[in-house]
Amino acid sequence: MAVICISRQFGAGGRTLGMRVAKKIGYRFADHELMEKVSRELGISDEWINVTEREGHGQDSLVSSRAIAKILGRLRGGAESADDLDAKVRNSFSHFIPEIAAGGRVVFVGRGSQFYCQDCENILRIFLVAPVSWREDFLVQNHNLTHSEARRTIKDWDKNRSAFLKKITDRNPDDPSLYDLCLNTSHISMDRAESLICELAQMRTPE
Amino acid sequence: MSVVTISRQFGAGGHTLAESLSNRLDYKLVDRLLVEKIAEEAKVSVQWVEAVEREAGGLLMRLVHSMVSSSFIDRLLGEDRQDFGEERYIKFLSHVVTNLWQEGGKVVIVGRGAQFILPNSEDIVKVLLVAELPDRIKFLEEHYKISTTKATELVRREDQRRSKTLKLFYDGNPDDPSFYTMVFNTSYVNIQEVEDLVVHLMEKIYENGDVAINSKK
Repeated sequence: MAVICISRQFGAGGRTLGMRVAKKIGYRFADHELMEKVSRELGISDEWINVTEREGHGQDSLVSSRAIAKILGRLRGGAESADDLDAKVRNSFSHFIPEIAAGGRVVFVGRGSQFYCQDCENILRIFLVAPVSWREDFLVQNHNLTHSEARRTIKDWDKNRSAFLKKITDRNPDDPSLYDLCLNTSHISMDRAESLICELAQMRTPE
Repeated sequence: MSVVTISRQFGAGGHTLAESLSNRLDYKLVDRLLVEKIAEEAKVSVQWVEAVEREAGGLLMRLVHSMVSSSFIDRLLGEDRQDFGEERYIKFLSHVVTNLWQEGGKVVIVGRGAQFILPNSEDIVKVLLVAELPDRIKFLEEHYKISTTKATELVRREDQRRSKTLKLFYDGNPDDPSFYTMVFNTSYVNIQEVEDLVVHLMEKIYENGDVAINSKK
């Protein structure tokens, strides 16, 4: 009954891998469920759906957590500081992520799940890395971006990711000792990465 | 051809893993002792190192597999004995490690900067073991029956030594996960699980027979 939290450098294939692993071992891929709860709690459901349609082609996990705070800020007419808005979003994650995780058999990608699930039994923290050039190619091939768009997107996401995680932990989010297993997707094919994670999840699941 | 390199934070269980992994895969274990033995034979002689550079793998493989007779080495050494400078040692290590790979591999190399010497290639699996500091100290206490104070001091010293040595190969953070195929945190994943997963990956890599060498930097 593992809880798998995949953290990743943007463009290292985290979402793709997360969905594949979930499908293979019959776990839930929880990002959509999570974002539904979070956006409902914050009263921005409709806006969130619009944004994911527009920016993420209907995929929640292609839209950064940052976007929630931005929507929230827009709806509140700039009455609250960015820090306060970010804190609201983190607060939502901090109770919905463990709540969803409590059922087990679930895969999260990003959203600080590796920290919010810390107290879960049987958590697997996976970190996917790859050099920037590889990630750029991955985005060009899989997300229909040009090279310069891909480069810009990676830079933005890397910046957002570290700003977001900085509020949750003092530690460097790329420190491998925060994770159970780091995989370098530029060395290891998606098939093999999937197979390794499933294997580890199965080792952790008593017969 | 196939090499597993194991780099590790001191006390994360690297040697334990290397031993069981080399047994399980039936690979030769190349560790500090073996490399130092080779280096010791060589350190005194420029000629010897040059001979290694010229003759490439054959000589090394003979050394590794049988520890060739000392008279053979003596002949190579001649009288030209001199100190083995740092730069030459690195160069020497690079030759040893590269040749081990090119000569057919089937070795598990612990440490020696092998992760930086070898290119990224499908037949090379680069493993890093990390663990939380208190766990590393505990591991040493239990494995080597030493006190907490002593274990703590040992970890501190070895961490320093490791980062100094690795600086000779790469001037950055040697624990950056993007240098490795896979990084395991032995605070959370036990050595048996690590071993099983590395073997699992090797089986995947070789499920259709030998892989083609795909060496790109």
